[in-house]
Amino acid sequence: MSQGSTEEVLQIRQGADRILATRHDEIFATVRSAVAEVLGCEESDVTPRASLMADLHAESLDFLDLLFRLESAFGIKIPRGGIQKATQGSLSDAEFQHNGVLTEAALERLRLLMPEVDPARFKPGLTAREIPTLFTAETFARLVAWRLAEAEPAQAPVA
Amino acid sequence: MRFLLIDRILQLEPGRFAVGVKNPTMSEDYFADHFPAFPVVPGVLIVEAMAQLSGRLVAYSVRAESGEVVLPVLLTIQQARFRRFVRPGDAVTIRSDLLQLTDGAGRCKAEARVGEQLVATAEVMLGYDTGSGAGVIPEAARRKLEAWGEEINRSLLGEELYARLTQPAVNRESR
Repeated sequence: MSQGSTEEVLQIRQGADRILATRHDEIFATVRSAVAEVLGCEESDVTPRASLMADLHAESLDFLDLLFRLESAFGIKIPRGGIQKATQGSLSDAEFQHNGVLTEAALERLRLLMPEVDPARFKPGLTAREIPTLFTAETFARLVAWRLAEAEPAQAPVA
Repeated sequence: MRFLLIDRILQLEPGRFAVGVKNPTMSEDYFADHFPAFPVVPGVLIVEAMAQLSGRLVAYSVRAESGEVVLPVLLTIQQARFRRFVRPGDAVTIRSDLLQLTDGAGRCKAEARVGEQLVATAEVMLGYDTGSGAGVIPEAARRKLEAWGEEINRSLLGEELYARLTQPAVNRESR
């Protein structure tokens, strides 16, 4: 059984790393203020490690609102469910999850894609639906960086 | 009272904007209480009219892109401002511009005018898939809703616009 190459995940990771190397603080500051506006909390509550769902009480609706704001702020397009789609990549559904529970291959990819999350949290038994519980503001900064990296070679105009 | 807060859709350009009208009259039940001797259209109903128009804009924008028939529901209202009273007999024109569309939701900026006068503005977000609440509509209810929606939309849009918006893959080539 093929586990799919981690090459595609590494490419996303390296693209995001490349952008964050020079623009991390600026991107994170914009993400933090967007998160604070969406959740109606103080910017100081939005730390790189705070879980948006567990600590700041975000729901899926808030993530939608946040994605729209980040698209506007950075002139990018973020596919819905982008993190899960990027994680699954070329893995088939069966290689990615069994009855909703993520496979070891899926967990491995998540660890690569989300270095901001404590690796211990990607424990066996984690379900696909629980992925958003791992999100922090840093996750969204990485998501933005990934999209910026994708757009960069083509020099896509900022809308 | 029923809850159709747009009387006619004059223009609807998928992916761009829609314009509709609402003519509140003295026979609306709510004027008895809002307010006695000084009838004013409740601001929330103007926002609902904006949401009803924007929902159709989102639905036909998705349909133009992918052919998918979706049922948008209201997720957020932001920046709502009520600038002037709307009174019975005022002809309210509502315009909604699509700001953003993802594969789960659309965000629109709407304004309501009486003549040239701006009476209300708001931003509304409508979602249309699972994860945002809209996916929980049971299948049987959904089929009924879709049939009802087609019927209402047909009279709101008029035959010509309705036909243009519902032909397969409308606008796919032209963008």
